[in-house]
Amino acid sequence: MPNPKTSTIPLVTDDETNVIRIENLRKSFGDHEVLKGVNANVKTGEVVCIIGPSGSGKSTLLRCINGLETITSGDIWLGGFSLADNNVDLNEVRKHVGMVFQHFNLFPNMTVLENITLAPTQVKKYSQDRAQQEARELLHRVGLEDKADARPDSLSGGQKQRVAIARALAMKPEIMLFDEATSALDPEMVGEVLGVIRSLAEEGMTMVLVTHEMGFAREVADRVAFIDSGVIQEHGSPEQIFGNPTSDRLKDFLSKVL
Amino acid sequence: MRQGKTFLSFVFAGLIALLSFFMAPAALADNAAETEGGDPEGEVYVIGTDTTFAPFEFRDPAGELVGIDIDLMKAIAEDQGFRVEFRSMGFNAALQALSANQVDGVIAGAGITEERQEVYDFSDPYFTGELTIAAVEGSGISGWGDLEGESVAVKTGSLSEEWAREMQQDHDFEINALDQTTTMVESVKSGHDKALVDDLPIIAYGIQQGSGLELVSEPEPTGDYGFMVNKGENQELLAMFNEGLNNLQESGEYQEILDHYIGGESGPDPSTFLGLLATSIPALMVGLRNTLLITGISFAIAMALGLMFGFMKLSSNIILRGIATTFIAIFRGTPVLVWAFFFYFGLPQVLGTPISIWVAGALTLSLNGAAYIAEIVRGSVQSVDPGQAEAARSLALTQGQSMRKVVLPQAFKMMTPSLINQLVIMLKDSSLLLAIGFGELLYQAQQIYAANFRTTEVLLIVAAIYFVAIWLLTGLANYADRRVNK
Repeated sequence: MPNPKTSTIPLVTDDETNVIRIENLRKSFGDHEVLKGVNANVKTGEVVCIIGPSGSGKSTLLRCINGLETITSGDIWLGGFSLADNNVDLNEVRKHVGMVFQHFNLFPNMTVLENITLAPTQVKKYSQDRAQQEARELLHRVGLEDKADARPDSLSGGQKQRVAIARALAMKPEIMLFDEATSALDPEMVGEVLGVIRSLAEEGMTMVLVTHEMGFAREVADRVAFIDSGVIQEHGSPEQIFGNPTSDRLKDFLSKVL
Repeated sequence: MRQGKTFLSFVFAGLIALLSFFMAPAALADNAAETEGGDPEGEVYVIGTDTTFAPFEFRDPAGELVGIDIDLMKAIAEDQGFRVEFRSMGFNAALQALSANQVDGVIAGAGITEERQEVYDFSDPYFTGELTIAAVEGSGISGWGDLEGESVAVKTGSLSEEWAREMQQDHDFEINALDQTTTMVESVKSGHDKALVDDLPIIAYGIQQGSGLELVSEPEPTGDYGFMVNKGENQELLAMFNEGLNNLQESGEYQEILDHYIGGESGPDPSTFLGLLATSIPALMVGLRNTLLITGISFAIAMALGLMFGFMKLSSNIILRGIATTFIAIFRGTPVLVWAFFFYFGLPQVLGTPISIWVAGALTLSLNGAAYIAEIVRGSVQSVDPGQAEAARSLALTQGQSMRKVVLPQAFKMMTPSLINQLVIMLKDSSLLLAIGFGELLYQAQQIYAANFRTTEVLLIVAAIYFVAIWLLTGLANYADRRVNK
């Protein structure tokens, strides 16, 4: 097991290993228990979509995975890091996990380029030159190379979310988390963001997505997990979940969203 | 309890030592600290006096402190070979300063009363006081009998108030106790009071200066004026005063001084508004300089303390948060004036050492300002979208990095307008320091209209100076804001 305090080695080396292991995870806010014992594994390179009604605990589960929410009981293992262990340096864990938010959360006091170079220069101590060069490559990849010096508030929603993805990728994470990444977008901009996510999936990035885009989940997911009332009610391949749902809750949910 | 007090003294002593270090240059620049009198090698005594008690003490158009008390004290110092340094601070403030040993003696046209003799030691009498009633010319009032049902202005805590209270037993009138002769005169001229009661020489001097009042009663002898020291302290100073006074009375110099002020040689100030402007501007500019200096120093300290307490209030540590909350509650929940009196008069008695008026003034303004700035800082940081910190944390930035690089730049941008507002409020609040005799702009104005009785015009000039100063200051601050927070 790598030393969590100093490790910058990859979370896992073996493609067959479960890079995320969630063991009987419970999370309460005060008296309100949101997650009531979640068990799940995600393999390296796997794309998992989490679906479920609002308030079911989808986003909370995702936020637990990179330590934005503390764990009440149970554990989450990211490779050799246990998030329930108080001695684990969360910043070390977060170097391996990128996150994209529903409302983009770009830094309005910085340019697009500065948004992307902030973490590599601050956390990885890259030189400005190296960080900027890599940032421009990432902007090219998401199709926004001409927006390097723009301010976030001058961008459209779709452009903002693509910058946010580039910003997360700049840390070269092994896992990407997407928290309803297209929910705040106008319909005509959803496609450009999904396109970027699709290309990441094709490159073999390990991803967990909370999404309302059922068609997209069906297309890119290796597995789909249905959460309701704080537990995973059902999971399996997209064909199985969407084509042959077994539980009444999932059938009910699908009948409302499809 | 005892330990608590010692600890408090220790903390304050440290703070004050620090402030004194920063303020030494400012204090040296204060022209009020010149010593005057006899032998340049002689002992220096600090003498407290009233600000606006013409003709006993007031400032001439050049801004020099003059008057019967002042000239007499200087002549006695000359005769006896010691030196004096005057602090003009208002009558009640001077008495408090004497009790606090902030000054060695007080000469302020103070009547020798039994009450005061319990607390202070008086010299031989140097002037025999008389009280009189004055009203607007042609008012038809000729005595107490004409004041039934009216309001009468008296000077707070003085013999005039005592006399009026006595007369109240036979006549039915209201008493309006005010702090300064000029305020009393304005109160009568504006119709708030029908008449005023004050010392005869003071009213006579005012009439000579064109106050527009007339004497309407026979003078009432009140007793004698004396120079005073704290009970049991500075007895050698008291002895020198008595001996010097005796010498001057024998040589005739004493009478010369009296004639100079109440002999009726000078007339009302004949100058036009522009002439008044020209003569008062030098003194007002000294006041403006002091106002800007004390505001600048206080705001810098308030910013440092405000940031510190603001972050403490945001801390997850319950003790730090408690300290910050207490500090803010205390200084936001109490008037500035209370702290000015406390730091200048109260604290020296706790510490047993005098405190410079600059230190007391800066403590007052900066601690009050810090309480408000702490809340501005806390509010601004909290109003930054929590998603910003979450995004920074999810990029593996440490708490400190995320605060410095992401949250604070946005918080500062939001707090700038409130900080500019706070600066303006502090600049205006600095005028409250006139109550402890700090030579800021409004204080200088009082000195001027106390001598020439042109209250309204001088106040208009001062208001214009404040307005322009604040207008320029906000303009500058907004310009800086635009440059920094693009």
